Amino acid sequence: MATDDQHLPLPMEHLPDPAEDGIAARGDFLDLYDREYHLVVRFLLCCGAPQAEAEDATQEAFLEVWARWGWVRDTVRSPSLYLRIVAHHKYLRPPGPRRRLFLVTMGEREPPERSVPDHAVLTDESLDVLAALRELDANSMIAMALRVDGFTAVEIADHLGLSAQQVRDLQKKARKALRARLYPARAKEGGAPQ
Amino acid sequence: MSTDDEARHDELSEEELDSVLARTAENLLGHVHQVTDPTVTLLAIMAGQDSLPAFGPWLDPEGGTQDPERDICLYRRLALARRRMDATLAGAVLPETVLDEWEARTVRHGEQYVTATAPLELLTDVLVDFGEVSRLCEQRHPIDCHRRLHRIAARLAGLIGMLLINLGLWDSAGSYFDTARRAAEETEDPALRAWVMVRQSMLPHYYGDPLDSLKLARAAGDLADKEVCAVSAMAPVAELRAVARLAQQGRGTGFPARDDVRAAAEEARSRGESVLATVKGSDPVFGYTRRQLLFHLGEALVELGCFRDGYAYLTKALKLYDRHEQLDRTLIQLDRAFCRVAGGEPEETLRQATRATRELPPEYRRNIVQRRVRQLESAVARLAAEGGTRPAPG
Repeated sequence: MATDDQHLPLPMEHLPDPAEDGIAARGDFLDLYDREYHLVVRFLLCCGAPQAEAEDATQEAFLEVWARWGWVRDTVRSPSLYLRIVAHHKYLRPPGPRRRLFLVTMGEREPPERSVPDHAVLTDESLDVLAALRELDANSMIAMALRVDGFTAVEIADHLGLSAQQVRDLQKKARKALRARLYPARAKEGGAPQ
Repeated sequence: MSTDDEARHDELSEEELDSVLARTAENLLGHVHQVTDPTVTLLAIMAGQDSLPAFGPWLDPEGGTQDPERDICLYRRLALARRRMDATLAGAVLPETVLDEWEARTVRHGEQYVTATAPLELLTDVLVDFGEVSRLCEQRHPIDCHRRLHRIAARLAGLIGMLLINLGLWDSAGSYFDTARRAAEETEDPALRAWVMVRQSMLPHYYGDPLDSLKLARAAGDLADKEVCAVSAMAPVAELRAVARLAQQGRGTGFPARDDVRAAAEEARSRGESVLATVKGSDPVFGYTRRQLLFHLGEALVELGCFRDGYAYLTKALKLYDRHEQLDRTLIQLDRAFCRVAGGEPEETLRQATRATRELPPEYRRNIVQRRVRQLESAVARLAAEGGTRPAPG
């Protein structure tokens, strides 16, 4: 699974035609923005990002997608999924010169227990699920988070450079781990709670 | 347990897992909607509009100045604001110094409004602060702290409304003024509530029904009379501007007699100057100044067709403005040009207006200025068509 910016397809050869209708392009982008902004933040929270970093990565992703919008709109099969992948890359991007902007340096990052939403805002069940998702390996986590957002294995495979079967395997592994984490008694005894 | 039972249990557990995931997703989304504001992201995209010239600018063909450092600055400001707020929220009590800092930042935003900062860039800054102060307002605080926070929030929301008016985004401006009024009510400060209302009265003045502007200005004046403040000087002028706009549209009592208009303007000036002499400080955004008083009275007189008196007020006002207060200076130049059209100097007028707008940096050439230029152009065209008669005010 690619996690570096350099693995993202570069759109240089697909720069938009200057004669293209700018109003329609902006309209399409705003539709995507209205529809997806909060969902992308949620996706990153599911992938283990702290709230502040999820918002920052989402912002950077939208800025980047807008900068490539001609190419994204015309070429990418699912801009919504592409947006999530870009946001995830932004979140994971390592420190160093390749990182364009640093909001909080790695050493200053908030500890996880302070950075996730707490009982005041989320139900116990949601907090358990988030904690369980964070225990998954990175690939299973992203495959599962994308499934939660309603993307099919084929769509996910297309964007992650995997086969659909590999995605299904990742999800199966993730679901098994989640079940074991969320229903430990049942996993052990093989019985459903009453 | 038989193999069939195990399969049945696996299926149940799969279904349950799906429902748990769906409930979590919904719960998380509600939380995200509550705590994130996507506006700043959109503004950052709009501010970097030149990065995609093929699609054109977001707001205004002449409005985008592309500074490669701008986005970086924006992100740094975002980071600073969030870290400061995180530190604040980590403490049990909101420190006095934090409130002092937010108040000082609010005043600085006001200063930037009249000086150097382009509207879109300033809007981005103010929105960031407004978002952080809003989050602080959600916490429980002692009453004094609660009032101070809501005072800051009301001022920031009002300032955002003013910036949105300048950008021509009147719909959003209305929403922000409503928010500002609600925040001001929490402070129980009649002067602040009056300030929001009189600032809000400019929205229908420029983009809506002047009658609404008149009502808001009168209500603001009534509130301000409870406690003499800058709005006590500003409200009568806003009222006169609304009357002028109504008369211009041929509504209400029609065109008032010139002597009545002069008398009303003189009374507003006299009262305004004596009020401003007693008000502490001189703040053109959260207060009112003599130069604004003269400018606004001059504009009202011009709209009512009293060009000679209007020109005199405008000229006095222009002398009081600093060179860096560019937006108001340009609007005054345009109003003076309008008076010159009335005096039968259309060519000179056009030259003057063009020069005034050219002196304005591109990012300032927004809706309000452009509307005024268009009004001037049509007045000059009418004058030419009518062979030099006085133009209809407008």
